Amino acid sequence: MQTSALYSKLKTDSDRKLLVLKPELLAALEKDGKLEFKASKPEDSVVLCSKNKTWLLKQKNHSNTVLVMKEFIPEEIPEVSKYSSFKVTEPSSYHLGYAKQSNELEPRLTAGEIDISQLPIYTGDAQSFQIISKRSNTVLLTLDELRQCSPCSQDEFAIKWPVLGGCVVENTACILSHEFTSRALHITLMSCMAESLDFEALDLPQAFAAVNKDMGEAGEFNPFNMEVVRTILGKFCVLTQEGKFTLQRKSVGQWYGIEALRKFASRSMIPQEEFMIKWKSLFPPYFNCDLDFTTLRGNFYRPLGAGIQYFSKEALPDNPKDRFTYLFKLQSTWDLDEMRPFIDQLNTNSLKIDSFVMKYARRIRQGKRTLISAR
Amino acid sequence: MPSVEISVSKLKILFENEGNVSVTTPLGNTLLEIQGELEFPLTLPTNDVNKKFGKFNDEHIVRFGLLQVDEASKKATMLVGEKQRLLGSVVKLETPLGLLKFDQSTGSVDLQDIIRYKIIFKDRPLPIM
Repeated sequence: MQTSALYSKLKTDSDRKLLVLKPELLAALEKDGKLEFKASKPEDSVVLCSKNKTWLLKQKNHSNTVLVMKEFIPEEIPEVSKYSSFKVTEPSSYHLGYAKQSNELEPRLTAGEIDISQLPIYTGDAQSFQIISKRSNTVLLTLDELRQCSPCSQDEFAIKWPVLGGCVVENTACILSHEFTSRALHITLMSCMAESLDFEALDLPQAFAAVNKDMGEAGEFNPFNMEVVRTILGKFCVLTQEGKFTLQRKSVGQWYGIEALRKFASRSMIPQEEFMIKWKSLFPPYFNCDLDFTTLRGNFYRPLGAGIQYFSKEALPDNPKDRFTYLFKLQSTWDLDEMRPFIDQLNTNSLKIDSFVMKYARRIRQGKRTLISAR
Repeated sequence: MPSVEISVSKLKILFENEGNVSVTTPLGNTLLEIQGELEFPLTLPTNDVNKKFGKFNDEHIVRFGLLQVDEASKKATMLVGEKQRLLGSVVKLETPLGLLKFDQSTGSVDLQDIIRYKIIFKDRPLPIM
């Protein structure tokens, strides 16, 4: 049996912390050789990022005495009788406690986030962009600076940024406006079709050349630069391993569907069959795309049960109780599948959606459908 | 704070899984946990009869006990001061702990060690007769 004499610094080091190394975190550390602490602002929650994953860090406090010790050789070695009145053998080693820990940092896997709320919005007009950029509540960052301060891993950032409509104009990270995104998507699709480019394997320079073929000829300002086309391809395509973009017709269809809802069904309701015709009419001529109505869930409600009307999720109250009341004011009975996108984000404890709904509303099963109404 | 990188300077040794049960990591760190408070003075007392206090690398240190570890049976005994004896054990951590060092001056974080075992004392101390 080995005996060791224990010492401790009177003033222990406060610059050490213990981090719970869950298997996936350990694997990431071993693979990438580094991890990054990130927070958008000093007062915000801190996340830990590997190349492709993000963990939220929670400080787990405890009241135990946890000492991190290391072996050392004391300057003065006392006689064995000084240690204890209990019969002990002479210590063969000496340990010094140098850091006392009252907590552990516990990582929880989370989805990386990019805060775009204060970034300037680009509408395709250089002059108005400069005006927007000068507003006091606008944050001007380069793309690298934004990447650095986003609580998001590098790979997640690369996917999420174009999906959010993120672009770079005049070396400033900005967001494309909804209307400009629609215009740019429409022009990109038409130009690529005109040049017979393969939607399964689009090449960014080729797509950009196609979009710019007839643009800016008379020296006029051309808003569809390479970065805008890059954002459009990033938002509506999936990047293949060969670096080509494969068009996701479903997300293109969904974008046009929401456009159709905003255009034709925002002031008054419209019968669903009529809406489908209007939706189809918005696509570029000869563009082949299946219309999947279920992709539009979360953007409409049915005021009288039959017709549909556009509705933006942004208008909903954040409080769960108020949100359910609001939704039932719009529509007395909901199909659970159609209601789900409006309430999913409230389900923070990841309960089964059926059980979650029961907390605030009444659930009725009707064959395969689940109907939700107020209590 | 935009971002701070954790660097792993001793990468190779840290990821070597130890085959044997060893409370001390290959880099020399040991984790000791007592379910309770271990109190010692924060400043030097005026009369240090038992010569418990000393200096190491210009920092004041205190000798607070003795630890006996039997790595075969994973049993540990700690004698605190002259009056208390604690019985504990060596346990493997469910998830290893990384020991991070935050350097305020350079703003860097270094993963200094990976701790896989700890010596834990869960019970109340027994008196030494």
